[in-house]
This record gives sequence, C-alpha cells and structure tokens, in this order.
Amino acid sequence: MSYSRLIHEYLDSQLDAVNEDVLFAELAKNSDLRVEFNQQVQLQNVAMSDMRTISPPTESTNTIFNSLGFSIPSGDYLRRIAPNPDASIAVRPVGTAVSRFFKKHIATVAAVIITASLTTAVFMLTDNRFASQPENKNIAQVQNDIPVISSKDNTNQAIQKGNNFAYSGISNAIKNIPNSQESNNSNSSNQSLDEKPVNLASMFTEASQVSTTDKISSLKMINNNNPVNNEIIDPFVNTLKLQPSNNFSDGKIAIILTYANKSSNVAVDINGQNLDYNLTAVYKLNDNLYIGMTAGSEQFAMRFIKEGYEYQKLPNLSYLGLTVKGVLPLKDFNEIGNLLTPYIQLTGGSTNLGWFMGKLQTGLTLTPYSKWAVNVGWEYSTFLYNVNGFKSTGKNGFVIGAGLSF
Amino acid sequence: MSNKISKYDDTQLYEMLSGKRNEAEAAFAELYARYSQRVYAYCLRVTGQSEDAKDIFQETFIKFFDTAKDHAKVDNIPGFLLKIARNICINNKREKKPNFSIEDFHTWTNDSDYERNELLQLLASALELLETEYREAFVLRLYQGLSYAEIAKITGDSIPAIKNRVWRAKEKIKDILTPYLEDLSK
Repeated sequence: MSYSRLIHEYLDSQLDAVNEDVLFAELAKNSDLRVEFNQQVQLQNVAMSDMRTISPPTESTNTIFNSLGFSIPSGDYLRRIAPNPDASIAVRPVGTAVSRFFKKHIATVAAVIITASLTTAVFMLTDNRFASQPENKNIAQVQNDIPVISSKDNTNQAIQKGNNFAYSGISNAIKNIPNSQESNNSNSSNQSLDEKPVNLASMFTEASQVSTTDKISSLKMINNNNPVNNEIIDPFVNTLKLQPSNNFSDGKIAIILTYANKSSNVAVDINGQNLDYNLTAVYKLNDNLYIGMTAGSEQFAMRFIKEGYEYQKLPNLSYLGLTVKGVLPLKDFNEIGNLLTPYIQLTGGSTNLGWFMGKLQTGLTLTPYSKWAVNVGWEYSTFLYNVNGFKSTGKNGFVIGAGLSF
Repeated sequence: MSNKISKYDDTQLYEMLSGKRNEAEAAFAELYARYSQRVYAYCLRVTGQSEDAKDIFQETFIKFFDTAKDHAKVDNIPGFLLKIARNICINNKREKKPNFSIEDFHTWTNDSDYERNELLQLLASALELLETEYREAFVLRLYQGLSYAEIAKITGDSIPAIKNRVWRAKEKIKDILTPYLEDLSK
C-alpha cells in the first residue's frame, strides 16, 4: 500500500495502529510526504467547506410544501438546523460582499423599507404637526354643528384649559356654574373622587375670545359625548402608540407587551398621562385565526352633560377583553409574502368602570424571525359608557407593536 | 409549528408522517429542516447541474412523504432520503459531457486573491469530471459523512468497493486541484 493511500485511510479513520506508526515514522523524515499529507487535508477541508455552502433553493422548498398541501415553514425555522450557506466562504472584495449581502437579504431589506415608509407616511398623515391648519378646521365644524354646553340658564359657560388644575384618574371635570360666587363655593364643596367642578365664570375672563353663547368657539373637535348620533370623528388627533403583533409563523402561543404613548383623541382640555399599557396572550387556532385575552390600561376622553353641567374626563381605564385575530398569509406569493402578513384584529371587553371597550385593528405584520414579529397598522377603539343614556368615545390612529411566540 | 416537534427523533417523526395531517405537516417540516441541505448537496454534486438537482431534490421529498404515508418501515432517515435521491438520479441520468477539460484547470493562473471560495467552485467542477460511481462515493463519504456501511446500504455495493472508489475519486480530484492545493498548503 502506498504512503498516499495510508494518508487517505488515516484521514478517513480507517487506518489500523500498525500502519499508523509506519505512516508517522515516514512523515517524520519525508518532506514530500508531508506535502502530500497537507494536500489531502486541504482537500478534505475543502470538501467539507463545499458542503456548508450548499442550501436548497427557496423555490424548491416552496414547490415541495405546496405539492404536499403544507404551509411553507419560515426561513428562520429552516435555518435553525441547516447551516449557513456562506459560513465557510472566504473573504471577498468589499463590493462583492455588499452585493452578496443585498442579494441574500433582499426580502428583509425590502420589508424593512416598506414598513419604514408606511410608518413615516401614516405618522405624518396623522400627526397634527403635519396637518394643514387642523385647529381652524375643527373649530369651524364645532361652531356649526355642536352645541357643546347646555345648562339651566345658558349664561355663563365655558371650558378651561385642563392643565390649570390637577386631576386624578376619573376626577377631571368641567362644570358649568351659574355665577362666580357660586363657583367659588362649588370648588370647595363639590370636589369628590369622581368629579371636580370648575368655575367657568372665571375662565371666561381668561379666555377672552369665548362668547356667552351656547357654542364654544375654542373647543376642539369632539367625536362623542352625544347621546344621539351627532358625532364628529377626528381621525387626526391620536397618532402614535404601540400595539400587539399576534402573527407568528412559529409557536402556538404568543405573549405581547404593549406600550401606547398617546391618549384618546376626543377633545378635552385636559392633559393625559400618556401611559397606556396592555398585555396580550393569544393562541393560534390555525394559520388564519388566533384567539386570546388582552388586559391593559388606556385613557379615554369623556364629555357628557349631567344635571345641567358639562363634564370632561380623561380617566385611566383598566380593561380585560377577548381578542380575535384573522390573518391572511401571503407566503405563496414571493419571499416578501413570507415576511409580511395582513391582519385584522378585534378586541372586546369590560373596563374597571363596568362599561364596554372595543378595538378594531388592521395592518401588516412583519415576521423577520419566526419567534418575533412586529406590526404596523391602524386601530379604532371605542369606549361605551352610560351617563344619562349611552354614549361612546373613540380613538383611532396608527399602531406599531412587537411580540414573542413560543 | 411548535418547537416541541424538534424534540422527537427521526423515527418518531417518520411515524407521525402517516398520522393526523397537522402532525404530519409539522413532522415533515422538521425532517425537511434536518436533512434538506444534505439531500440537496448530494443532488447538486452528483448531478453537477442545478436544474437537475432541483428536480431530483423536489421529487425525493415528495416520494419520501408518499412512502411514509404507506407505513413503510425505515430506520435510517437520512440514508433513506439519499437512497431515494440516488434512485431518482439514476432514473434521470443524463450523461452530459462536461464543457471543459482537465487542461482548463491547469491553465488557470493563480492570482493572489484567488481564495478558498474559488477552490470550492473548482472542486464542484472537478467532481463533474469524475465518473458517476466515483463522484457518488466521494460525495456520500466526504460531503455527507456517511459510514462505508451506510454507503454500501444505499448503493448496494460492497464496502471494499466503496472504499476503493472514494480513494480513487480523491486521487483524481487531487490531481486536478494539485496546483491550488499546493498553494493552500503553503
């Protein structure tokens, strides 16, 4: 047997101990054989490297799973076991490496760009700072359509900037007081945990442009506080908040922690705390349907008339609700379809005040990794309450979120 | 698709393929994740043609699933997959002459930036110059890491014959790639 063959068998783990000694003895004194040895080692290494560079084409994977009528597993799921195709490739020139990176991650890059563009566009559309004269437009509508305050005598009525007084939870209110003396008394006597009357007469002098008619020219747009269906919805007030993403290609259960940084879009002259949280847990029934529970805290602005006075409130409501989410996987279309999934989500439940709160959300979910997902979308949420008849208050705006599945 | 599925061994997953549809789907995805790369590497390196490799690769997994549904008993899943792939390769055998010769390799200048990735391409091309039986033995042994007994079971040949093929394939490839291996070993 040649020494070359001995080297081969040694590297192939087939050489017995006797021949191994013979081989090593020869290697110690034969430099040409050491070169041969190195070459065979190199060849073996190259073969193993070549193995690691090969991965099945995506279209073949799609074809196989489609032929069997199965859902196509996420790329991340397959990468969990299959080796990285580029793991052992030697360093290339920078230009080639950049080109290779974009070629490899084109779907991810495209999805990120689309998501970022949508986010920016929706944010700009929905943020008052980017709207053209939104205040004037809103005021005009209110002036024409909404008799904001009704009272026993319709004399001294106004509203006050909410940040002129402190409030706690549901304790903010503006109350119409017939005259200044009464209002001073009321301020001290009528304060309770739930309602805080305000001397509107004194506010008149502060808000010099406010007339004594029953229409408030400085009032912002309102979309509730009316027992009848006399609602004006302002879609451009509440803009940015984080909401859960529930679409995951892997895992049956998902837990989502959500933070929302804006309050209700109902116009009240009270500043909110801008601290909304919720926790959602969903269970995947099938590829198109999820069901779960959502618990959280959110602010809803309220306006209503009670005993001749108008009240404005911005309570922090805790709620617990049932969530149902439908998704439409686009994975059959292309690689981007594997990452982006349209969804629609409905949540309904009860608040700590015992009244109903519901949400309808729609958008796109980005699933770059099977365990993680982020989503962008649009949500309308409503809170129904009963003060001298049922009323509703609503919020709508852009939502983004993130979640983890397991 | 639950991560729990990954805890099952090959045999358990294989048995699930003939069970309920959702179980079968999850089990198939898991087995695919485990072995698709190996099967495709085999197809690609044995056929030397990416289009042929894709067709054979796809047909392999579809046949594999159909076989599992028929409750056929299998104890070595990767070996079984490679055997299916091999049979399809043989059925689809197309004796295409390579469009280059050994001389092409030896006239290639060795630039300073010519590194391992180019050597990998050369290796793939060199494999195409081998006769099918040598190429297959080399791929199953060095790429797939199968034992000689496993290779013999797949090909139906004797272990000494397989050993000899692997050795000869290695020698031929080494001859072709000698200039580059020397450079790498320096």
